[in-house]
Amino acid sequence: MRPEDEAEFAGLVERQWRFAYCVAWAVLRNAQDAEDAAQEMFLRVFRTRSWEGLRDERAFVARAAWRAAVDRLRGLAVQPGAASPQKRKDQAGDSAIDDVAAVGPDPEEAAVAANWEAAVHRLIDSLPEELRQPLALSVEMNSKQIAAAMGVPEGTVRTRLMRARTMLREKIAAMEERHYARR
Amino acid sequence: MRDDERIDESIDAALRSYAEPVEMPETRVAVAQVMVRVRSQRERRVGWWVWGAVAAAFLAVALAMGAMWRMGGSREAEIAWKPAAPGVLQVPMMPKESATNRVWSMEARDRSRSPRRPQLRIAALPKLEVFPAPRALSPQEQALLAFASEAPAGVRQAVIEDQQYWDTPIVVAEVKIRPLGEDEQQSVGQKSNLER
Repeated sequence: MRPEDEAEFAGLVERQWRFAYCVAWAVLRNAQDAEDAAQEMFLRVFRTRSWEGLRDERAFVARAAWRAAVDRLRGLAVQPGAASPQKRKDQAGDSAIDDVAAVGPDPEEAAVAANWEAAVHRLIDSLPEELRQPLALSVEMNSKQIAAAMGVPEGTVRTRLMRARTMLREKIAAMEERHYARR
Repeated sequence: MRDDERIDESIDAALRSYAEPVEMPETRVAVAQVMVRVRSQRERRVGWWVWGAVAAAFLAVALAMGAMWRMGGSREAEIAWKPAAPGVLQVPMMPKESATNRVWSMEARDRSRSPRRPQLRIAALPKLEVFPAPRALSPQEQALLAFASEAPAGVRQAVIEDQQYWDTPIVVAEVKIRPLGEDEQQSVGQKSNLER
């Protein structure tokens, strides 16, 4: 590799590192795994020399980072002793609802507000993966970019986003209902 | 309706914090780590090519040695036969092509069956029924050779023609002798007296 190529590749990593890391984080939800996936993605891109002559650098990185993160997620799921993903999701959703609902009156109001966001995070975690991933990616990308990254039609992404929000609304409403019922 | 809007707003707020990584390595550090791994990967790849080239060179040398060994074997097969007795007339003899091919095909068959099997190398022998073994000429043959080279052409031709009838029986015609008369007996008696 020529020095100018190396400098060009370093520039690509510098420009897109944060975005690649965020995409990997949205899928993996673990700092170390996200960092490893992002690094692995850049190494794979370097190996295959697919970074040369890119037309849409951001879309390319989104696709590659999502692919690397999903591969890593599958690798983690097949490790011995790991709980099934759906079981973990169910447990996360139940505990989030219980945590918010179990908080007592007045002094706990502040705790509810503080824990609210964390509880919603766990509710998002409890969504099916096909709904959670586009929802998490929707902060950084629009539906067209998400569709390009995941390799599905844009209409499918929009449908999944709508279903994810509907499910989330229902879960939050149930959580609020249980919380106020206890009060 | 207001509840839905409120919930949507809370979802958006939660999503923003959800998508924001808790801890993210500094870009400069991350770039440096990636480039270190890129360079080590490139060096590993170069090392792999070097080892590959060395292995290819060894393979080429081994193939060349194998080819040379085969060529040496074929030269051995070309030597037909050398008579053990010194001073004997040596006639240049080559094995028939079919015999050489058969030897090579047998070797190829043995190699294909088992490489560790000891190879039985059969020297190509002359076809004795076609080419009799050379030996010294007998005295009769030497005499015949001298006669053939020195005798006049007419005599050689007569001998050759005579050879055609060597096994034909000889027929001798019957001889009839008439008895002597009285006059002839007297004259024979006078001659014998005179000689005495």
